[in-house]
Amino acid sequence: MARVILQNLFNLSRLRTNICRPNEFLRILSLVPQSSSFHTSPAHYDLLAFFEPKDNWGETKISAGRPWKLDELRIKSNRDLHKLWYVLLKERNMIMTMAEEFRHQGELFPNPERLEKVEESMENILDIVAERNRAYNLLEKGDPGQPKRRWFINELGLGYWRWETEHYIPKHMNRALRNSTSLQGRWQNYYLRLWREKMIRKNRKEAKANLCKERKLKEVFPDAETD
Amino acid sequence: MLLGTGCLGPLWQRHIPKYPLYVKGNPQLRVFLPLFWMKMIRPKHKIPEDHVCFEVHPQMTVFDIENYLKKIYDVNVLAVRTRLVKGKEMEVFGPAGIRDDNKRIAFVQLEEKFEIPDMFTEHPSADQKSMEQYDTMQKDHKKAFKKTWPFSDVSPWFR
Repeated sequence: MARVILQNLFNLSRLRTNICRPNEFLRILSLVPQSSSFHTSPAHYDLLAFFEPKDNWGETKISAGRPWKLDELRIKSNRDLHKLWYVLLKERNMIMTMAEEFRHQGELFPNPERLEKVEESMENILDIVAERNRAYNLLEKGDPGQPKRRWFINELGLGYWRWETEHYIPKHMNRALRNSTSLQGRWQNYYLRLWREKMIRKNRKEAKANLCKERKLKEVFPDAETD
Repeated sequence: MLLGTGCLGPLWQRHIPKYPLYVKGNPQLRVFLPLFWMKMIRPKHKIPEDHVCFEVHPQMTVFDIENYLKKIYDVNVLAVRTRLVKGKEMEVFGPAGIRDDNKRIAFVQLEEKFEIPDMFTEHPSADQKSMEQYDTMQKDHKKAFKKTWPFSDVSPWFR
């Protein structure tokens, strides 16, 4: 495992990606208490880690515990979660490889539900990281730090919701955006008004059709409940 | 929460979110919780002894695979080559328009030879054991049948 990765913490700044700039988590490093109580089995760095240990070869039943719960992971430090992530990642790779190998040999794979258990604990770790991320952002920046939805008006003057994304160019210097919105003006009002009228008519038609349908149903089934 | 968690199938099949934008001069971007997976498979055709075949997450690049093996498994890698394999189309009286998922297959060149361990000859599974039992039982049955063969007293040229 990379020492660089182990020395640092994983990100608490970005949510949509699990990628972080080093300065941000080095600041957090001092905030989080580090525990040395977490121990893992001795690591054997080899491609044989893709396969089950030799003790389990030829066994029809391989016992495994339950997945990690959210409450258990919430107590752990970031460092421990980071270590646990790699343990789970290797375990998942191993299980997938073994399943493929058993399928290739035409054998029955013992306890395939292990994959789901590992995945559940991995997802729980992601949830916990997101929680901490959110808390940190709310404390430091007063904002959950997630991309927001904005009302965007396109070149036809029609608005729609759009997720914020990162850009290299600031908004006032973005020529493509300026060109797309340059046509906006008072000339659009006439067409927008027609558009609105059309939508209103369409909605009214639908509502009327629904009412008619209900009335007809009411005649056949007078005691029925209406939603 | 990560985008799309809790609604879309298993974690290993999910789309991996984009990297944040990088500006020259900024500190290096690092992945702290990689979502990538790799599984070792037996290659379809014969490959050199120092090569290993993997099926990897379709979004993984050559550099990702190299770093993954070097940093997580501590294995030195000489070269990585990948190829995309299109999923097979289902056929119901002709092509049905339903495909399997596309795969990315990676061939990794190592410093040393590596062979996928043989797990099934030394440790036969329950199925294999039962098959062997079945064979022996069939042989015994044949022997027993020969003893009580109805044509045993007929001369051999007539059988």
